[in-house]
Amino acid sequence: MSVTHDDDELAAALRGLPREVETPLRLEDRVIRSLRVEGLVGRPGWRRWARSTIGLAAGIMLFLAGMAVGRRTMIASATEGRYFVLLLYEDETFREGEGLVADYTAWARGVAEAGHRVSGEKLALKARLLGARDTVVYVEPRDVTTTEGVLAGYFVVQAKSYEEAIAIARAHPHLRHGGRIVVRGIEPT
Amino acid sequence: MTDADVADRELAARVMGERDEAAFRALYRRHAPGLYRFALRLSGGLAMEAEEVSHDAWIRAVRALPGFEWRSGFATWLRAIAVNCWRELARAAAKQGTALELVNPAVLDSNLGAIPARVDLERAVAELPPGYREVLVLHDVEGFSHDEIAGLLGIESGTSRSQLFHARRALRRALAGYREATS
Repeated sequence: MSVTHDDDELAAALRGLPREVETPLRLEDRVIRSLRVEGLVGRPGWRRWARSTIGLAAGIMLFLAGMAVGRRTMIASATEGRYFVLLLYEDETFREGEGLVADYTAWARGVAEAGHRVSGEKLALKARLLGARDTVVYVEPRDVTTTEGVLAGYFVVQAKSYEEAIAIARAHPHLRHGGRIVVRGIEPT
Repeated sequence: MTDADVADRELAARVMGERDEAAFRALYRRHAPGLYRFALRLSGGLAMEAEEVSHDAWIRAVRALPGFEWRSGFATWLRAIAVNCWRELARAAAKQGTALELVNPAVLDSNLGAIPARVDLERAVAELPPGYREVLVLHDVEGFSHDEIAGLLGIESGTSRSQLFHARRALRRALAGYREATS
C-alpha cells in the first residue's frame, strides 16, 4: 500500500485501514457487570435463580420467626468481641434442595449455643437501584447482581476475631447449597 | 435489510425482551472489535480512553435500544453513540486539565508492523488535532456523509467539509514529514 498526496488516494488508503481490532478481554466482562448492575441483562437462567432466591428469602424469614427471640438479637450471650456481617450470595448454581430452612435454623442455633450473638434479616425481593451516573430507579430488579451473585440475605455474628468469624461462616449450610458468603467486619462506631 | 442486520435485530430483541445475557454477549462480540477500533482512532490511540468510550457506548446503547428505530445499521448507530461518549470524555478531560498521553503507534497497530505505510497513516491520524481527527475518521474511515457528521457533532455540513479539508491537508503534511525523516 502506498500513501500519496492525492485526495482520492488518501481517502482510499484511509478507507482501507483495518476496521477491527482485538478488544481487551476485560472490557466485555466490565460491560456485562455494568449492565447487570443496571438490571439491563440477567445471568443465564436468571428466572430460575429468582425463584431460588424467593426460596432462600422465605427460609430466612422462617428461621427468624422460628427463633422468636426478638427480631434482631436471637440469643444474648456473654461473648465479647467484634461484629461481623455474613453476606449470603447465590447464583444460578445455588441448590435450594430440601431441608434448607432446617439447615439454616440448626446453624444459627448452634452458633448461638456456642455463645455468639447472632441475628439475621431477610432481604425483600423488590429493590431500588440508583446508578452513579444517571439516577435510575428500578422497581423490580429481582436480579440485581454483583460478581458474587445476588445478595439473598445476611447474618450478623459476634466473634472474637476475623478467623473465628470465618470459621463460623464456613460452617454455614449456605455454602453446601452452592451459595457464597462474604464475611466483613463491622467497624465499631 | 442484510442478514447481518437481521441477526443484530434478533439479538437486540432478546436483550430487550428477556434481558438475555447470552444474546448481549453475541451482539457485543459481533460489534466490539469494530467499535473499539473506532474508539481507538477517535481517541488518538489512547487505549484507556478507547475502553472508556466503548464501555459507555455499550451501556448507553442497551439503555436506548427500545427507542432505536433501525433506520441505520446497528454498527453505525453504535458509532454515533460512541462519538458522543468520546466528546463528553474529551470535554471532561479538558475541564480537568488532564494532559493527553503521547500517542504510541504500537498501541494503534501492534498487529500491523509489517505494513509501515499503514502504521504511518494510523500515526498521522492519531496526531491530528481532535476536531480534525473526528471528522476525518467519521468521513474517510467510517464512511459517514457530511450531513450525518453535521447531525452527530451539532455542526453545519459546510463546517464538516471544511474540517475534512484541513484534516487531509494536515495528514498529508504529517505523512510527508515521516517520509522525509526516513529517507
